[in-house]
Amino acid sequence: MNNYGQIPVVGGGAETGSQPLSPAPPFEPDFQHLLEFEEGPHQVVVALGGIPFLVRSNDAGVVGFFTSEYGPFQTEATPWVTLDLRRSAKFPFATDIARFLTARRGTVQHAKFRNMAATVDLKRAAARGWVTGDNLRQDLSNVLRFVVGSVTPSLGALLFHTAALAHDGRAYLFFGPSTAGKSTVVKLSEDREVMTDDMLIVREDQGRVVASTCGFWGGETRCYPSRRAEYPIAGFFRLVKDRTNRLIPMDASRGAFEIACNVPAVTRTSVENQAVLEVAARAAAATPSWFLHFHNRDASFWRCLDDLA
Amino acid sequence: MTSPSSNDPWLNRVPVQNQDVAWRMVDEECIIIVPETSQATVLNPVGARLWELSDGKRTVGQIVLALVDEYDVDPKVAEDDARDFMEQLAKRGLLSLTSL
Repeated sequence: MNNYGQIPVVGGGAETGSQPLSPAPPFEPDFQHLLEFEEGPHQVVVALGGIPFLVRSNDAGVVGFFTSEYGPFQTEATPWVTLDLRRSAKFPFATDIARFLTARRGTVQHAKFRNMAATVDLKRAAARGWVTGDNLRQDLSNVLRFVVGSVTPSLGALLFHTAALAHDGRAYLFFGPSTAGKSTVVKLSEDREVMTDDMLIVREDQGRVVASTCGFWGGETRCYPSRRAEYPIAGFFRLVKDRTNRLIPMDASRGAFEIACNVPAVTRTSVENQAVLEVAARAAAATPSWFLHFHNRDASFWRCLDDLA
Repeated sequence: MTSPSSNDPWLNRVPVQNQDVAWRMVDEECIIIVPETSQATVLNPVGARLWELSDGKRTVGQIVLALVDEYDVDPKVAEDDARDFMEQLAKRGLLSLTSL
C-alpha cells in the first residue's frame, strides 16, 4: 500500500507549477520563393553543437560570415543537415515581422522575424533561409537559432537556453527565466571560460551528457567571435536570486521538467515533444540538477559549486 | 470494494488522454508537454498514477477503485480528489471525459 501523501495536482505549488515554453503566435507562411531558389555556389561545413551543417549561399558574404565568425566550428565531417541561404536587398514576399512567427505544415517548419525568413524540412534535414538588411550577424543568428532549435530534438539533442561556464574540464549550466541572473553569473565569473550567455546544445555523446557550443550569444556578454567548446556537464543550476548562496538538489523529475522548460519553443509535433522529454529525462538522470540560490553581488556562489567537485 | 458514490454518473465517464500530448514518467512523477500551448507541467506521484490509468478503457469509478486499492486513502477522498484533478486536466485540454 502506497502512501497517498499529497493530493493529486497539476503542477504542485509555487516550486513545481507549470511553465510556459514561450509559444510563438501562428501565421500563414508565404514562402514559395524560399522553396524555389537555387543552391548557391559558396559553401562551408560547420559543426554547431557537434552537429555538422552544410551551409550554401548565393552570397560570398554569408559564407564569409561562417568562415570568420564560425571559423573554429568548421569541420570535415559529413553534414547531417543542409542549410541553403539566400541574401538579397529585400524580401520577395510580404513581411510584417515585428514578432517571431512560426508555422508548421506537415514536416516543414516556417519562421520569420525581422530581416530573416526560414523553413526547415525535418524529414529531409534540409533548411532554407533568406536574409536581407545589413545586420548579417543578427539575421543569420536568428536563422540558425530557428533551424538548430527545429532539427535538434529529432537528432537526440536539445537547444538549451542557458548561460554556461567551463571549469576544470566540465560545463556548469546556469538557467532560469528572464532576469534570473544568467548574464550576471557570466559577468561575475571572469576567471572561468564562458561558453555562452544564451544558448548551447545539450546532447548525449558515448554515454555522457555534454554541453556543446553553437556560437549563440545573448548580446550582453559580447564574446564574439564564437568559441567552439564541448564538455561533460557538471550540473544544471536553476538560478534563484537570494541574499545567501546555497544549493538545493532537485530530484530527477524536477530536473527533467526544468530542462524541458528551457528548450526554446518552436511548433512541435507530439513526437518531437516526446523527443525533447526523452533527452531532458536522460540528461537529468545522468547529471545532477540544483536550485542555486545566489547573491548577485560577487562570485562567492562558486564556493558552493567547487564544494560539489 | 465499492465507491461510496457509485450511482454518480460522473463515475461512469471514461477519461481519454489527448493524443497530441507528449508525456514521460520520471521516477514516480509525470512530465507533460502540450503542443498547442507549448506548456510543460509536472504531475505529482498520485496525479501521475491517475494520468496513467486514464487510458480510455477505464471509467472514473474504476480508476478511483484502483487508487483506493493502491494507496492508503479513504474512498470518498480519492473520488473527490480524482474529480478535481481530472476536471483540471480537462480544462487544460490534456484529457477528455467521454460517456460510456
